[in-house]
Amino acid sequence: MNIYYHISQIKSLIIIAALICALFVSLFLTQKAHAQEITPTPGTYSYGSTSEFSPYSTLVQGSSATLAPTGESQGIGYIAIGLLLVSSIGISLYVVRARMSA
Amino acid sequence: MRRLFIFSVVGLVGFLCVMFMTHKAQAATYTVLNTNDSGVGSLRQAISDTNASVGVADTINFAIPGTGPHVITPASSLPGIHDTVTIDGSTQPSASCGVLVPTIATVSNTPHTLEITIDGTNSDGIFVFDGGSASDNANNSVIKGFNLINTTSYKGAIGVLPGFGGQANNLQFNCNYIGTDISGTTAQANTTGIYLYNTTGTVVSNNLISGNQNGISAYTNTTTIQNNLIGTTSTGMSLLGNSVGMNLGLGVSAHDNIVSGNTTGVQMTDSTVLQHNLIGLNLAGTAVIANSGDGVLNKGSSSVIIGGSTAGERNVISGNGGNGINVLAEDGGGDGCSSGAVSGTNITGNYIGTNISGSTAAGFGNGQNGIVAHAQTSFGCSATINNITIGGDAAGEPNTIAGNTLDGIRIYQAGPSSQTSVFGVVILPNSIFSNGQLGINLALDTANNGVADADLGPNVINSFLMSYLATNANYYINRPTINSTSVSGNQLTVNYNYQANEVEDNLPAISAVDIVGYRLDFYLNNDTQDGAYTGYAQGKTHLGSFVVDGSETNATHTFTSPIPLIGSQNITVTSTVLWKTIPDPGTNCQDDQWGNGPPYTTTCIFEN
Repeated sequence: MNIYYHISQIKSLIIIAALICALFVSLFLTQKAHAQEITPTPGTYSYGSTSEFSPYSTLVQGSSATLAPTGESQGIGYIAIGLLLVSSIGISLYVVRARMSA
Repeated sequence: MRRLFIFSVVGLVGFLCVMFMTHKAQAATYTVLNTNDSGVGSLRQAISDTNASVGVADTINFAIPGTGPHVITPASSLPGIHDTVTIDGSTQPSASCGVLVPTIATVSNTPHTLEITIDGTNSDGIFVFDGGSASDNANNSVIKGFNLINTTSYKGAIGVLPGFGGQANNLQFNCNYIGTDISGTTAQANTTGIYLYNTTGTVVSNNLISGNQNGISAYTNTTTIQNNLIGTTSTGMSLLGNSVGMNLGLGVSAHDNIVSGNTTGVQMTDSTVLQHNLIGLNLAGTAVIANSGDGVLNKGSSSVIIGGSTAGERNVISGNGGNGINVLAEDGGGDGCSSGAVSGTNITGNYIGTNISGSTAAGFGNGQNGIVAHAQTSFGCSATINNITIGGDAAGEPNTIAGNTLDGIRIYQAGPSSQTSVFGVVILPNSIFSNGQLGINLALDTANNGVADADLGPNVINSFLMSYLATNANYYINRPTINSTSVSGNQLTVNYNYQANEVEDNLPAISAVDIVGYRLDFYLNNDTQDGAYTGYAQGKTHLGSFVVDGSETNATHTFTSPIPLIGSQNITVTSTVLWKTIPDPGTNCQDDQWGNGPPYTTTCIFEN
């Protein structure tokens, strides 16, 4: 088999790996519908029941940067996708190399 | 002859003129000269004479000779008052009208000096407006300056209950001692002090109404009860209670009264307004004269206003043996089954459990809760509470609810979930602190873990779900959890979790899309441990609020606090459901199969 065949296989495998990663992105990162802060238009709502007070929390002197950002942290998800993509490419190259060696 | 004829004509004309003028009645003054039951100079005769003088406003004065006080004990009921008259006992020599409540929380007053006592032992009421025909118009009558005692009639020492066709509107009752001795220091009880029914525009002011079974029972439009002492002595500084100070309904407004020392201070039903009263305190506001039960008992099914946004509307409801305000829905028995429903109540701007400055002080807390809202059934019928608003966002609207023995606000149902329903008790910003147990207690919270159990309990998100039998009565609205905080100057950043209550979608007239969101209100606590439950403090200072549209995990919000904050202070948070106001009555304003309307609106918006 010539080099062009192997290159086309590498491309195919990379495309497959990318599609798999995209599938994971759609399943993992978008699966949870995040709530958001809203400003309802006056007159379109009325109040219902109210809860009890929560357990109290003690204020900590510091800056807001010390707290997690709004909503769930997505960094871990992106890291995981990146690792999956790299590992997919690595596996693909290993397979191609093995075939070339065969 | 001719002159004789002329003189005759002139004389005849003059005679006719005189006859015409005297035939038209003139307003007259009748004077009571003795304490006799009847006859010339008696009060009975004077009333009869004024009734006969139809269409004019007469006056009855008093000039009984000798040293007073003078006691009139009618052997039978006095004539009902059917024509406009001012009956003025303060015209008796040596009598005078003082000012019992110059202002709310004043150090001293000027008691009345009365000289005429009317003993109603043998009477079906004393002064009774009971006319029932087109000619019975007692409008604009005045009763003043009397000590009225010992009547056992529901009609009251003063009673207004005109029959069909009769009128008794725009009356004034003032400067009387009703239910006490003539010095206003000991009880001489009437069954009812003042009874008002089917009258408009009547004003009851500057009276001492104490020592009775019912002080005032008023169920009538546009009646004002103001500046009275109800349940105290004439100085306003000691106890001389009624069983019920005031029973109010159907358009009565009560303001600037001292309502203290009674068993129940004020009992309210529909369309009543209670503002700027001291309920449970003396005239000066310096000490407690407790109503031994509740300060205010609200059973109104619509339009009840307690307090307001200004200092001139604020009630101080403190020191009472029971609850400061008891919102109670209960069923009734008798023939058939009657349901109880309480709705449409606004409680704003009051001090509940504090002194007149809004601070906690020993003895000023109410003996039970600051505010309680509960539905109970005794006859197997149904009882419902909804659309109760406590506090508000506008200046002056938050209540101060502090120092009460049990909870600041307690909400619960006292009956099977198939019969009782408590929902839509909205708690907007208030200052709640130093209450003995919880700041807000949705009772039966034995788990106390911040997450609603599978079944629903008091103050539920959806009244329809109350119809399902509860296997565990620990329902309540989920509250958020504060994970961490950070303060920098006036900037407060909170990280929180919030698990929104679920709403079932398989009900006929409500679905999850009918929820707009959830309002989260953050408060600064008063202290680390504020109440009896470890880890649970109360909400003294409102810091701010925002609305989220669903559950949140590890979410962050930054406030600009209205007050400086420092590390080591403590905060807490509540959540309140926002329901969509449904614009389409055809599909979304239907009652459910149990006859209940949507819980999320008071009225649906109907498109034109």
